[in-house]
Amino acid sequence: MSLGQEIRLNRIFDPRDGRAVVVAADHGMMLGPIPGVLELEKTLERVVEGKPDAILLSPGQAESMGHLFRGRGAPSLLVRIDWTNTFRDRTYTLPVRETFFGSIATPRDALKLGAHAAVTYLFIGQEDEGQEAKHLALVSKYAAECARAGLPLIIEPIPFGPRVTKANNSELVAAAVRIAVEAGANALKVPYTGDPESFGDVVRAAEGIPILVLGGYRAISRRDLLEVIAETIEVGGSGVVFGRNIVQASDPAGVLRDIRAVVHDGRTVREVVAGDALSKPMRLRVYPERCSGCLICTTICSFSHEGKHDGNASRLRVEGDWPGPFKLATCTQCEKCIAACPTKALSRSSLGYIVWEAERCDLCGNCVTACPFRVVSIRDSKVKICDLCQGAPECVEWCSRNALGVIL
Amino acid sequence: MGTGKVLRTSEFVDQRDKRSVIIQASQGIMLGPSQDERLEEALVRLAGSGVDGIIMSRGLANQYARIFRGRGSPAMLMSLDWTNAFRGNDHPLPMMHLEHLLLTTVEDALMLGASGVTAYFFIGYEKDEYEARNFEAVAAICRECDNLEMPLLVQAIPVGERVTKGNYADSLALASRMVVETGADIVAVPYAGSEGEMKRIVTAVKVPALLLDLELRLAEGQPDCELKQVIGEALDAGSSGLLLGRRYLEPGNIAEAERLIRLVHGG
Repeated sequence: MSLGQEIRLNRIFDPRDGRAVVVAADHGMMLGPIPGVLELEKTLERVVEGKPDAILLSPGQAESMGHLFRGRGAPSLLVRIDWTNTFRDRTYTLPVRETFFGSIATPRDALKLGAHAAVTYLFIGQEDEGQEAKHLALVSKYAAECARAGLPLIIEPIPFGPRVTKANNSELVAAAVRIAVEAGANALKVPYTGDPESFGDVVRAAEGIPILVLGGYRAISRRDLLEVIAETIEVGGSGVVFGRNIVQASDPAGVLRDIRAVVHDGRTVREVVAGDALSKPMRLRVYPERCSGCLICTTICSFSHEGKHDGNASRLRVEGDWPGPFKLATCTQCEKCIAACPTKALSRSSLGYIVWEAERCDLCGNCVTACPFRVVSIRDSKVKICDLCQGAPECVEWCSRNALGVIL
Repeated sequence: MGTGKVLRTSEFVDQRDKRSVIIQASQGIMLGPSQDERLEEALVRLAGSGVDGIIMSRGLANQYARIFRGRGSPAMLMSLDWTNAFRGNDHPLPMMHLEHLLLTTVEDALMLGASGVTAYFFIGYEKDEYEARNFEAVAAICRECDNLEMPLLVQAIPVGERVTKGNYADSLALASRMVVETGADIVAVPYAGSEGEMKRIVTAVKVPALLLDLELRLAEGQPDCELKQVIGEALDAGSSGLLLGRRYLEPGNIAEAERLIRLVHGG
């Protein structure tokens, strides 16, 4: 890596931790004015408040959005120098019949614009292998030009096409990553392979070149989004390049702050999701009229505590038959269990939930019978009571009908 | 000014107050090492104290890359030229005839990760031809800077016996206006003698002007001044900050450099 590449790359990846939070906002060139990039300037003004390390734009947008990148604390500018119609699927105007890619600017053009890196795709897996060869030739040319220009090249290797299946996807991502690295990538923008183990293989394939995981998917919840990021960091990932999950969010700066907390500040997802709530007593509140009886709350409760999807192992209960009405039984922290315990094995925590101490407990079962809502149980010689997931209740997070909430 | 120039300039001109303190760390190529030099230590400390830019020669830039890592770090400016003008009487080879030449291209500086480039323009040469050559060199850099969207800072300095007390400020006004008209994006000028003269020069250049710290008497009529005394006047006259000389990298003067940084940025 040349001196220019080193200095510029370090203005994207924070030298203190070698990680980066990047926002992609170059969709317009590939997909047209989708939500979030329709009024790009307004969106990006809100994005910048969340202090991303860099923002990826097309050359045209970079030219007109220059003011967002002014100053040493401001995000660094990344410029996409290629184009593809690949992502124009059936949900967009003019779905593609045949996929193409092409160069739209040179690394030198990007450098002139003040970019800190150029970004390009690299597809592998097309039916026509000539396409893959052509793409690799283009990317290799970019790499040579970038090295001469002192501009880092970020390659986005993506397995694409009918030959890519669920079964070979992770392996192909790792292969594409290694091809990109050997072609001269200074950093990578890589799709998530779905689990930490296979992503760890991808990180190893990169031979020390930093990997940013890309969004590309719409996360079900903020927690879900953060958990994917935490998983990739855990196995050696260096951060994220997120587009739609940020530019289409109602509060882009808020999402970015949470992501930065996980990527740069080493905070756990639980701490980030719970936020200020972690310092105050809290309890669950139920809105039974909103409950659809889907049982996602009992499923996620058993999964997060017991590692299995078993409604019977849940620490809350949904009563009633479809189509309702339903009743929700949760711990109200009434303390009847505490009063009934002869060995003082139960107490209240600072967050309000009931804490069980195994050493003091003789498993007499008085707490189970004392509970008016029947949400205390003894299984595997352990007393199970709602622990509010230590401040960030999963049932609340997952309930799509907001039938569960938290009162501080 | 295109996007590239604007963005690169913003890396060494603070966007909150539009002021800048830059320190020159490239004198070694003209003078050799200074006594008691602990360059890396000094640069790390000044980077932490908020210096906006550091002028490097291309050779040393490679060795001190780590100082420029991270978005909060100072920007690197690369010195493109060389002169013997600063070899005073205490130098083992005091200057006899003023020489000036280009060493590095704008493209090389951009490639090496610089956010700006600097060059000297001297006025008052014994032979007018030398002034013409120097101006030609600066103009060529300007054109290259425009092509590559690289900001150019020119240090406009009156030198020699032809510049007397009587024509010092006028010579300075002439030199600084000349380089701006050929395309400099920022100028650095020595103290002109009074707040009024500083104001006249700063107003005439139309681009940001930094007060240039000169350690030597380079021209017959160069006014004596203490930097800490005239910086206030210069800022009041509308100048945009300071370009500090090598003496502020010496261990005994770093604290003073830090005071000057605070002073320029609203202290």
